Amino acid sequence: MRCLLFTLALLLLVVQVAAAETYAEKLGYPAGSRVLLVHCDDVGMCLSSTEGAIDGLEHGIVSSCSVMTACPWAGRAAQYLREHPQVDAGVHLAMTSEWDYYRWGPVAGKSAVPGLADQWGCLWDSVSLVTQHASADEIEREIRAQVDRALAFGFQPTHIDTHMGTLVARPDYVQRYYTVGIEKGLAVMAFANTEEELPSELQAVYQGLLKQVWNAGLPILDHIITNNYDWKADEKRDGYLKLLPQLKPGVTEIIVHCAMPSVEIYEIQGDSAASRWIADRRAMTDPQVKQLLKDQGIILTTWRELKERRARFGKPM
Amino acid sequence: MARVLPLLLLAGLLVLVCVGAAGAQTYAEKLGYKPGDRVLIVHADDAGMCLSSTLGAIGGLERGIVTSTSIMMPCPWVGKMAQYVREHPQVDAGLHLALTAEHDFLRWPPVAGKSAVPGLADQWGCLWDNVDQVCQHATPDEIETEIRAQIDRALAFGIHPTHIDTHMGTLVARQDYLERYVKVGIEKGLPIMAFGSLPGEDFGPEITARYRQLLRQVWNAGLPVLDTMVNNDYGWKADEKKARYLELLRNLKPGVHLMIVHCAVPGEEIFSVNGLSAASRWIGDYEAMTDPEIIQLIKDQGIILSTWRECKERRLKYGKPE
Repeated sequence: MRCLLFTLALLLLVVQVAAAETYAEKLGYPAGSRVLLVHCDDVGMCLSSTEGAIDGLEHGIVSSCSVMTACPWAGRAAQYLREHPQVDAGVHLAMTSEWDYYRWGPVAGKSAVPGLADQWGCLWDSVSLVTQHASADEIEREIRAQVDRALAFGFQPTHIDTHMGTLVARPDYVQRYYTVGIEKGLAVMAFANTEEELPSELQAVYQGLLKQVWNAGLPILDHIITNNYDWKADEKRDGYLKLLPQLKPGVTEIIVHCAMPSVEIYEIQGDSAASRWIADRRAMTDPQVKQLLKDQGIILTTWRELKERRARFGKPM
Repeated sequence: MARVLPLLLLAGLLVLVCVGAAGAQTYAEKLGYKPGDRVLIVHADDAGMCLSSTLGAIGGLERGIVTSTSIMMPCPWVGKMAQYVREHPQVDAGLHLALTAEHDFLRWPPVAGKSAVPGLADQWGCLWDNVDQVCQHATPDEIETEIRAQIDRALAFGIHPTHIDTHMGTLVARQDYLERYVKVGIEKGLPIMAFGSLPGEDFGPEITARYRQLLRQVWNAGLPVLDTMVNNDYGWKADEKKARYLELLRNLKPGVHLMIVHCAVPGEEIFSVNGLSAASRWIGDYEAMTDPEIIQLIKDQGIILSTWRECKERRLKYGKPE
């Protein structure tokens, strides 16, 4: 009898999970909808990544992007965004400066955030050096400085995300990151399905944070895809052609890195990463990829739209 | 256009007048060169500023007549230039002390950090985009703090600068800035931009006397003084560069001269940084500095190429107190 009850309970649970509403549905999309946010990272990092993102937005399937306001070419990105205020653009919060010969420093200034600066006054070149040296207070100060710089540059960010995942590498960093997003009404990177993206010790904290984010009026997405970053350059297009039909129902964000071909991008990144970024731009503007998106009935969206849908359709958890 | 400014400022403040009567000893002679020698430092500015200017400076040094360069420490490509200098320690490389970030879309912040030098930062935390704004906002203390931060960063990058000079002439745009610049140069034994003669009008006995006093101070501190600086080549049109350098080199007068060039390898980046006109002139400089006819002319004319390092060594070896 007990055994039977337990089995029944288990069955109910399974049924419930299977039927669980996706965030897409909670955001007002019809059940079964496959909604995609194609997000280009690293705008403003260098000239090639800035022009590549613009090309992806104007001639490809890129629907959103984020600007590294700490970086040398942020001014060019800002000029474009001032002239195209409808473009969905966030701040790609960067706590690292990870290329060998091309570097940038913290926006707050090294004397305001000494734990974020290396011996040259640049941001550290790896996430682990940041987590070893920077306090949560310094992280929050730098987040605010980077957001303020976007405003000074004349563009109103739709969202804030995290370069290299630094802001999800320590629980206290995540807390600060979400706090600023909630305070300023900026969407943050929050996904229902994060098992491959987050270390296990963060899972419990994270589930609590999700509720906090949603109830603060910010959207949550269902899935994130980042493993396309490592696809080889000559396999990118086919990779995307294979991936799109396999998208699950729900809202999915896929991260891309678009770069125009140039000496600059090769010099910054070396042959391997540079060619993959250039291939991302080509794939995002490829006619077959664009056609497949239509044929598959995939709905493109933006952070701005998801925020509006959260406000309109979302119910408290 | 931007690089015309330093000349005007230098003419206005560091003023000058002819060294004196004809036949007076040149600084070249005081540095142990023979009377009549025509000595030239060909100096590529703005290394490290962007990739094109970095590769341009390296190309000018390796394949052209460029003998010296200076690096902009606050700029994004400084790491690339630092790597080159570490691998080629014989290269004559100074610091192009930058107190401005004057390009529209490629910007950089002060090395000291905006909270340490708030008067040097604009609303985006970058250095101001022109010299006037610096002069209006930055105290001499902030200027000195930033100069020292840029030198310290060079040392951290493994660069041992041969000299320090001034981007856009900001450090000669105010008397109190100039004093700090000279002070740090003397303290650290780094040659500064000091010339016995500059093109320009006669600014009167008072300013002239003050400038001569400054030159004496620099010289007596064991640093070299050169005879003239040539920088009007900056404004030459791209397609006139080669012919005009050929003409300039043929007519070079006796003395030790510093000729400022801006070398950029062609690429979309330099056009985005500088715009069409300046970009093509920088590329024109790069092409002229690596041009076989110009390289040959230097030899044919018997022009002696020199460096800041050599001039400093000669100052210590041959120079007498004034």
